Amino acid sequence: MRALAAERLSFESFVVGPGNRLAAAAAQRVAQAPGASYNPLVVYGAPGLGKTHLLHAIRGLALRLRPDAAVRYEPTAAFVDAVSAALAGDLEGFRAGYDAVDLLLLDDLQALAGAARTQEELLRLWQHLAPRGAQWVLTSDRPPAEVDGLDERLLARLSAGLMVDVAPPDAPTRSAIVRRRARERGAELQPGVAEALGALAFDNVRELQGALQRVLAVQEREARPVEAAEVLALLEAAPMPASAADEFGAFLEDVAQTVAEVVETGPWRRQLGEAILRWEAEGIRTRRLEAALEADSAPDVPALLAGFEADVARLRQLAAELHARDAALARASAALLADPDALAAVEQLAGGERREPPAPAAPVRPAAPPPPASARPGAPTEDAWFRSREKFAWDWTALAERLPEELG
Amino acid sequence: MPLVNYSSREITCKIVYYGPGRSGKTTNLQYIHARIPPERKGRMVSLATETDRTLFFDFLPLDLGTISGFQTRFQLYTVPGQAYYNATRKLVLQGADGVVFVADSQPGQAEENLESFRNLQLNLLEQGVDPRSLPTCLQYNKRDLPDVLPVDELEDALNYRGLPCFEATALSGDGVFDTLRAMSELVLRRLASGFATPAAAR
Repeated sequence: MRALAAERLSFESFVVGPGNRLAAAAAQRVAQAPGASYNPLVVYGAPGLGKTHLLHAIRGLALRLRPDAAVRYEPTAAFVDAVSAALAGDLEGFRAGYDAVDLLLLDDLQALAGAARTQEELLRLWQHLAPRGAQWVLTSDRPPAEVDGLDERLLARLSAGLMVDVAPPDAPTRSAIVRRRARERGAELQPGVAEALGALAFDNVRELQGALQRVLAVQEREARPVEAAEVLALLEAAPMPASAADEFGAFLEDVAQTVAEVVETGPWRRQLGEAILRWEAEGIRTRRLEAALEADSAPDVPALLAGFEADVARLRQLAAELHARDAALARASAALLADPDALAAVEQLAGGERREPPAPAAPVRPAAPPPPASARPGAPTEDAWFRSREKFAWDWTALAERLPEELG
Repeated sequence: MPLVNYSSREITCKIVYYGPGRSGKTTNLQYIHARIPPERKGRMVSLATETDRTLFFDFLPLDLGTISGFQTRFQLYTVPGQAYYNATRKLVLQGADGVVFVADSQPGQAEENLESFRNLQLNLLEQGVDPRSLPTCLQYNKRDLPDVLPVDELEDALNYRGLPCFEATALSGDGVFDTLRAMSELVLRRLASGFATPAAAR
């Protein structure tokens, strides 16, 4: 199936217009005489303007003219992957795979951004293939000079050939593309439909093809031809994706609605949560309430809170008595005196039966998480929460220990 | 380790994007990151290996602000898809509240999709998580490419559990927020049926 798709991407099926005429001509020249001129050839432009189509067309024509030529087409991201895997395994084997290449076609070289090790390997390959006069053709979604972190040496090599951009098609070219794609699909368009679609200012060919697809889908579904006058209304009825800001806003609205429904399903939890916050702020340990909060079903919240409050009041009373009688012991027993679950022990202590303060109970949960970064004056506002929150799934130390293992 | 912390009034969801190498997991996160308004935008952390490719993982904190009195945050992670990074995948998967499985729609990637999906099940089971209990949805990515597998075929191969699924072209953003919206809803709704605990603890 892939082979068939690649075969369709030929010079014959590439619709030439003012925006891509130079790129198409250079590509054809390179396919006819690899290494003879425009080496390297770099074609850049926004996505969906036919750069990949040109690479496949070069490959197809070059092989038709020289069936024994060693032609390789690689998406750059796949090349980065392959280098990665080779570095972890058989680097020499990987290099050997490129030894005899006559024509190397690399798609989307912006994938080299930040991939320093792959760039080194690419430079080595370039040096290795240079004596053979191998032809390089590369595409990018932006001028190579604007690709982040592209090695200066690589940039110099790219600049030594021909860099040519492809621009969005104009209206007549868009119409021609629509007619050709419809023909390729064996579909018939009513007079004026291709022009009506071409008149719409699509930024790239994919969007244009999407619009054609919608027209053809209506023709097929309703078993009738779509007229030119219907095109605009038909496309408006199937709106294009929302704008960026709206997308996030709409997502946020949906989440807000769901969150509201979810948190309201357990008002008792909210009540308990608020009580925990209050008592924690007063320095009282709240493990009894926390345990209730984590239960699957609602407890008798008023009774629980009333009992807790009574215990705290008794605790405070005993603490005051103890402090009056033996301030040093009271200070040493501070943790105990803040724990309503240790009331029995405090009763004993206050009764003077024991002089040594008993050890406080072990904490049942880690210290309360720090407040959100935004709540702390002067604190960094960036991501601090994820490092300390309980949702943090693993620690950086563990990862660091894993690195050598992962890298073999 | 509650998903909703009523005492600190926080909701934190960890969503992991899983799938074979180069299926578009990072592209999903990049698209989302690019759409976050500047005032909410956190740093997207990408930890790359020495060999450039296969980020160990991407991490995108999504602070949605205070919703119904709760500070609401999503943590979006990707796992490295390549087979040899399984230990990292397990680490990233720990504590996940939901998984988006990003499948590559190209015919040549069918086996990789299956292998990665099996790997997901195995890694969850190893962590004591029943994959059937973890909110999961499928995203069939790269639908814009020519000659991709029909959705029916992808469904037959991967979706034997009838999970929610979405067609997507992550590069242009089609289906990206639809997937995230559905995943968020699945994870949050799960709260309604009980006091959810994270994957690793279940």
